[in-house]
Amino acid sequence: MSLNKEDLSDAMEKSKHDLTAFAPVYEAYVDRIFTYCRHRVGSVQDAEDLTAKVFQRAMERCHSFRGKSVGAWLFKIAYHITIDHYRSRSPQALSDEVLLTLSDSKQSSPLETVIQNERLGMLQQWLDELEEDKRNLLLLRITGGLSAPEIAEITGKSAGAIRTEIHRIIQKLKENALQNQ
Amino acid sequence: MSSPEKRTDRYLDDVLQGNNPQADLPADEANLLNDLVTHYQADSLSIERKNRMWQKAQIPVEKAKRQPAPGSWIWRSVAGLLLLMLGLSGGYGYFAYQQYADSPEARGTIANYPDEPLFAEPPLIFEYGGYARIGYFFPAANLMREANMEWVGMVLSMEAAADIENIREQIDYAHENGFKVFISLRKPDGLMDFDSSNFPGVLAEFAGELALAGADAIEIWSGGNIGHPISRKLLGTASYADLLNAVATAIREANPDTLIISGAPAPTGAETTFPGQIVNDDNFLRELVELNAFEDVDCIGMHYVEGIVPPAATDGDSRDDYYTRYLPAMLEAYRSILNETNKPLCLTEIGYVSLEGMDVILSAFQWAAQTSREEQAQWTAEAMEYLAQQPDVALAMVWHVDYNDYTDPEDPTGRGYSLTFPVDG
Repeated sequence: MSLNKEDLSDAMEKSKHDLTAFAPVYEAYVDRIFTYCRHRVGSVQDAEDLTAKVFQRAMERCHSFRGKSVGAWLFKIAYHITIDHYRSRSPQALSDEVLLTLSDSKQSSPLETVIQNERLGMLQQWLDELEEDKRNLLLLRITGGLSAPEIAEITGKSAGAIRTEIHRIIQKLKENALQNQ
Repeated sequence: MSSPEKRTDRYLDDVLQGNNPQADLPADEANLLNDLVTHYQADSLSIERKNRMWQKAQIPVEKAKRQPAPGSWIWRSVAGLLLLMLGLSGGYGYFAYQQYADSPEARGTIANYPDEPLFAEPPLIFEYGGYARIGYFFPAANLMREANMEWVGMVLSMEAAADIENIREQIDYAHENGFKVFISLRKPDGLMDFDSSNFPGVLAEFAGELALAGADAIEIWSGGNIGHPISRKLLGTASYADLLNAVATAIREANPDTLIISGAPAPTGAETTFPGQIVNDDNFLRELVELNAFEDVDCIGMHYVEGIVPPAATDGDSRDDYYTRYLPAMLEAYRSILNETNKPLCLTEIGYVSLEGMDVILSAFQWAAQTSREEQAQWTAEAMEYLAQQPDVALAMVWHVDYNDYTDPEDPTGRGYSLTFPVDG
């Protein structure tokens, strides 16, 4: 069942009085929140624990939701939870399990798979070299599917500044790609 | 022609929504964006993993539903008082989760998920802590940890806004020591008048900064029923409601994880004695309920600081039987006023005065002259047990763990309430 933004806001409002209404919100965002946490902390097991923590906190605090973007509200909780976790652990490289998951997600020929894996491996290296806040921006935009105005809600910057920053990150990654050719 | 930033943004929108990208981008940039989307696209999780995380998210709810049996407690008297509250530690919750995780219920089934009924009421887990000095050394940290305190409290007034960096460092240090930080944001010490046209906004801005700095809970302006420290002028209930709304909004926008607590009124029956300067706490709360002032807060603040009988007692006070003398009576009174708000209560200050060992006893605190240090410690521990059994109390902050401001040795508000007597001055 795919819910639009208005349906999700309605579900959040109902959750304030009846937590059974929260289930569709969980279903709509659990994949993205998990992936966000996985990229942020580098461990599948930790990502699972943190995802549960995000939704636990969301259910505890659903009465604080104020009718804006459900996604922005959830990812703001996820951001703070991963920040706390991040400070107490050192970053880990993605496990092979994760890389295999990514590379198996598309149907391609063996040669295409090798080329794609190599390209994605280089991309991972460049992304690892980015500052944490820039990686976080990409995660919110792509994994979270949040728009620039929604990201602005979380970070306190303007939507225009968010678009500019994302564009600059892309240009930086392009430079890396050119240097690598 | 749109800017490069907007073209990139539009391209990403199209790809993320599965549409044919309309924005005209250079091929290398388009390929890079496609790779980024592939790299960062959301995982497709199995039903089993989703079930497992769903159950984990609900475990704390289970913990709150299972009332812990009153644990044994131990206290020591006078120098080096400790509160040991067994049976309320987080270890219980973890053990319960391990049992639950191995049970057939935890594995979940497609039929159970996501239609399994959740709990009708938001979970309420009682936690407690105490006001203590943090600074650079947080001297009471070990003591508070042994007492199973999860929170450390600090009092800030508006004047502290000038040094937000120092506050942030103290919050970080408290977090590193494993404590959540409770900030009681008090009215100005006297330098700022209520008539300042931007006053709610200035306080709201400071509160937002505190939330951004990592404060886990902020109490907004306790003692709103008592007049200004210097002018004695009352803020007024309507103005307090506006202030509460403005500050709560600022905190929420800065950090949705910060618990917002309305300022506890000062328990008092002196309204008729000091008209225009004091409003009784029960009347103050009734007026705020009429104004729907508590809509934006997570918890409603309450003080209990004048007890001279054990916490569960409902009579025996030598002064009179006014409800503010007894903890059960105060809880009952507040519940009857606040019932419709559906908000939990937070004891933002709870403490017992003992004047044992003090050279001078002010007449204003003679009522506490019979309370020994041993009773002070015992009653504080019993109060935590008592409050843990209440279904609608979320937090209790003991005033005070290690007060050391001895600049006014005749003032028992510090030393009289303090559970320990730090010698570092």
